[in-house]
Amino acid sequence: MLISPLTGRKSTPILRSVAVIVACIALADLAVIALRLANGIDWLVLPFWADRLTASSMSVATATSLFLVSCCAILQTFPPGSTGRTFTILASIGLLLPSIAIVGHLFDTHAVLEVFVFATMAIHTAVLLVLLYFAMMLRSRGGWLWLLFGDKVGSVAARRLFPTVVLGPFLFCLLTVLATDAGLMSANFRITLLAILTASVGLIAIVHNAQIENAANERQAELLAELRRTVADKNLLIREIHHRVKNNLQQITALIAIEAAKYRGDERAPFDALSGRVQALGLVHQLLMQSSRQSEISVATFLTDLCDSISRSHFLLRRNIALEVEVDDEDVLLECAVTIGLLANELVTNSIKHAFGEQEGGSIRVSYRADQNNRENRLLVVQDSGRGIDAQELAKKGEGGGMRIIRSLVAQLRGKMDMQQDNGTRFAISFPSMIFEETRYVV
Amino acid sequence: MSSKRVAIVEDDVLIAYFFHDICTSNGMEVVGMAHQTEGALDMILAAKPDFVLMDVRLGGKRDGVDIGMAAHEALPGLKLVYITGSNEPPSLQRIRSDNPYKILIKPVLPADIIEALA
Repeated sequence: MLISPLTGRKSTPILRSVAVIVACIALADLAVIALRLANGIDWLVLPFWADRLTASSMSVATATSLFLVSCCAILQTFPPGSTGRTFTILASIGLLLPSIAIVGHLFDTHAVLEVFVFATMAIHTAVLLVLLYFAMMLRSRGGWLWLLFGDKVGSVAARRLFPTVVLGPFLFCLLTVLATDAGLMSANFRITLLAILTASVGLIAIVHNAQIENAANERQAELLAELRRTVADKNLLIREIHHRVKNNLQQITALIAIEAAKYRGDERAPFDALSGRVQALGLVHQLLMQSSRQSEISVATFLTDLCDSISRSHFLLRRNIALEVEVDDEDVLLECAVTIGLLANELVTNSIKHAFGEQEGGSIRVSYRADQNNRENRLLVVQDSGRGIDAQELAKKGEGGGMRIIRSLVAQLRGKMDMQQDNGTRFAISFPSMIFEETRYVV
Repeated sequence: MSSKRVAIVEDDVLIAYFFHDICTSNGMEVVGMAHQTEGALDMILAAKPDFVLMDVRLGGKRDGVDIGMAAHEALPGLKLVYITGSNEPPSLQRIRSDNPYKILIKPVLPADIIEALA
């Protein structure tokens, strides 16, 4: 009747109002008892029926338990996170009071009724209150009562211990009460036995719990060690694969070189370009093996090493061509790094091939940073100080294979390419940085 | 001045011949090749080259660094150029313990080898 574990329902205000009324009646009852008003609470509300009313008040325990149950009902209308602990404490105290009354009645009804707090509390009232609390505690998931129903190790152990810890003392005490009534022992000796029993049950529970926790702890340590071994194996395997990849790339370079040996001069150039592209791919794997994270590498290191490699294989020092790299560093994923690397390789080798005459010399600048026009984008720029691309010659010869590779790499990055001619050639590729996230493989 | 004399230890024969071609087409003389640990040391000691291009992983228990160390002991002036696919710090640490002349990381380009043997 009072219970709703869900918040935000239309019935919530009604529930709260009813609970508040119950709480007020319970408090008023407690006040009547405290002020020793003989006529009781009904007389306060309906004074003109005074001659018909005979009952005085609820017991203190009943009123307190009812007050607590209404508090719990109100708490349940709020999110459990903020009120869960208060709910558990109030419900536990509320459950304790009628439980004492029930057990007391079973052992010795007179003894219970002699206690002021429990005087006039009937067994059926106590049973109903206990059931009410159980229902309320079961309706809100979580809380200690739910622990008894779980299927994890702790819950299983709790269910096993439940008879020993809860029913054991109860039955034992019942027996000693009967034994005392039969004159087999004195009331004080009964207390001695009870003290020993309580201590023993507590000790058994502690020892049992320690065994379970130790076993769980050992199992956890075993699993952790196994996990470490697996991770180490995986890392070894990943390194092995990178090693194999690089060996394969070296084989490809060798195959290209063997084929290229048949040719001299300009005919040989496509083979060298091919070797350069394979080298760019190899560099990504080389840096991945050094990287602490095995799927990301630093763009700065990558582009610097790449340009260094290009510079050496094209003898730029001897040709008096300066190759500079300017990067705002960030870590990028393998997939993107490969594309960015191949693109930079293509643009730089393009400049080396077309921008400068035999003995001319000059400079090429590679830069990578956030795009000033769109902060969500990255801007890769390759700019040379050469003689520029002859539009007529380009139209006549058509775009070479290099340009096709460049266009597909730009498309791969979902980017836009812009070419300008002003004291040389400037290629600028702007691409969205979100592709770093989108190309991440989810395992 | 006589041409530089180079020995090659590389377990992948295709790659070994790639290195061979780079050396010969750049005026160097390849005085010996080995494709496994067995016989590699004997080949180096017999050929007495100026340079050795040494692969690190050769299959089997011993690696290129073992052979390099033994060769260095017999021929202190030998210039060892290690070529390896494993560039993780532990592998490089091990190679450095043999006082190498150069370390190249695979994949290498012809220009890298020419520069290393310069």
